[in-house]
Amino acid sequence: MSGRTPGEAIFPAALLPRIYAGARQGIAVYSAFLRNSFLVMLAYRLRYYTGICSYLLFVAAHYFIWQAVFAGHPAGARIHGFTLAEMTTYVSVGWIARSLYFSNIDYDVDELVRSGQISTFLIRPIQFHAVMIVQGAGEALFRLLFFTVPIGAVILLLFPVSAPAGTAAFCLFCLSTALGFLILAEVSFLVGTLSFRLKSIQGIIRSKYFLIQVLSGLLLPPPFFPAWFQPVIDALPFKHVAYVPLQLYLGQISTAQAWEPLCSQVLWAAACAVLAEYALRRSFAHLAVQGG
Amino acid sequence: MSVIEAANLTKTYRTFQRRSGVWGAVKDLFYREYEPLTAVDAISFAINDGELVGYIGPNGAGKSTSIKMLTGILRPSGGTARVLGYDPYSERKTYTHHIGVVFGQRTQLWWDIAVQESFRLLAKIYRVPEPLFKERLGQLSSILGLERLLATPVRKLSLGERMRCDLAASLLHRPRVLFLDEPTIGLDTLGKDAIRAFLKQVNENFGTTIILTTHDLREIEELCRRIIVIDHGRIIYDGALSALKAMPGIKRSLTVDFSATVSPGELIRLFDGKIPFEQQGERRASCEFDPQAIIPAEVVRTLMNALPVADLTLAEPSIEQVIMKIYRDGAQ
Repeated sequence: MSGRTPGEAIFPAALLPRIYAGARQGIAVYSAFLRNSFLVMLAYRLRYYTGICSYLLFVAAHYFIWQAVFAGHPAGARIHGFTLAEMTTYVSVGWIARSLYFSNIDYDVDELVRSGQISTFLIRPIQFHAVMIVQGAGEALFRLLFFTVPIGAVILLLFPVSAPAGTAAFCLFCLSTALGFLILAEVSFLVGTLSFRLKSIQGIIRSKYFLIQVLSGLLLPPPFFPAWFQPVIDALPFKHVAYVPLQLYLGQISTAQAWEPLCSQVLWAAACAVLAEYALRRSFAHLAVQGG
Repeated sequence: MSVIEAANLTKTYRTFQRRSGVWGAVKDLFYREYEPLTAVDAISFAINDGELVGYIGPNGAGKSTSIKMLTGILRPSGGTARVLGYDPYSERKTYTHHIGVVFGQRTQLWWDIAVQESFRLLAKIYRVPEPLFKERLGQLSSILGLERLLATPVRKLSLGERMRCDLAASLLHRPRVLFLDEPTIGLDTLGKDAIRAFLKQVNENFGTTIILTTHDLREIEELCRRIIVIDHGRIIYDGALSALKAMPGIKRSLTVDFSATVSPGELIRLFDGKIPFEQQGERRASCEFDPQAIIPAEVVRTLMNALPVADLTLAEPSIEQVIMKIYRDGAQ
């Protein structure tokens, strides 16, 4: 006996309401996952309050480092195109944004694969890839409210951070950071899929963590790197996670030119998503669920 | 009408053999030797609509691996699986709408949020309309006694409570086939009873086809008319449970109490040494014998006629004994 309905001829016109209904269903399901991961984060709020302090320390450390760097220069001097005020803003806003775009998707996938809990996703009519990205977005939404906003408020009070280059620039910065989140989320998912083949990917996750801090421009803006290293940064997606949004914030990219980096962000996100999905499909064939 | 069909279903894992010693470990860094390990070896069976089948076997026999292939989690290395007309692995996204799966060893509910939040999310995933969802949840809660658990996060539930919630979760979308991988593992007698009774009800009332793996043979005895026994990745028995007990080589056990002292020699002589009686104290003896070689009634009559018998117990073969026997035979 068959559980499927016999294949029916579908006319293009009849397809539209189907697509619409399918999209609505999809949104309902995945927004429910988003809501759930938000609820899960609420269950562990305390962990986040401790995290706020460490972010303040990072910003403070960088602030004093840049103070020292600029100490020997006359007021208003530029190093690689940055004034001290811009550098302070760059570091502060950079870390505030990081609290939003950062995600633990690689770690979560690894955990699910190693514990075998991934099977509870596979027995359901859902896309594992989409669920993980959406859960990451739910976390980001949580962090926006309980982490980014309070950290932002404290940092703005403590350090001399300049306002964005304009309202439009600020909106573009927000949009660009959201795209940065998506790029990083897909990269994290891609790294997570390695856990299907490797016994432990903790080392890789850790290397990725530091590599991205450097290559995204969070620790040091790309112009500070030697010339021969520039092509490496340009060839990788990571500068689109931190550096590009910050350039929009500071007005180093004008709003008129903003479409170009935004388009490359979209392309990078799409490319990473396709690659991650391909890696996932290859990995599933190798899945050996542990235990049980 | 079969809803589940496995034909030569096979799963081979590649296992990595570690070499011993320091030099071996260094060699492992550069070149690894893999050895194929066949967890499920060309099994075939068909299960009809509405059947409740026990799928049993010792640890590592390949039970869970076959369940994982049938539920679409693992890709078979060979052979085919068809459930409800679907190929579980390649058509996973549509197929899983029609099945329910419960793993006793892990929960499918979200650990940190209230049970009802998990249920609500599942209703969305399986596209159960709100009124239908409410109706089913009410029904399941009252049968399984979940009312006061709904607002509790899963991590605060006891194992038995969690299991009942997991079962409810797997049935919200009214699946036609239910896969249960050790659903009562670690539960106390009361918890097991509740779940057993519930499964029976689901099978009878909704006509749900159920495959159940377990180590608890009493459970099998109470629930399943048919069992499939797997060992070393091969099916060693597939058929009615009752037929198993009549298999040759399955022994009956007999315990006799005498009203006076009986010497061991006397007993052995009585049956020409065919029955290995064992003395248990002065007035009690016990033995095991093959009912196909000597008719049990004959043994009893001979004893009653020759010796001062006070009490006598002739025990049915236990299911454990039967299963142990087929494991042993299957291994040979």
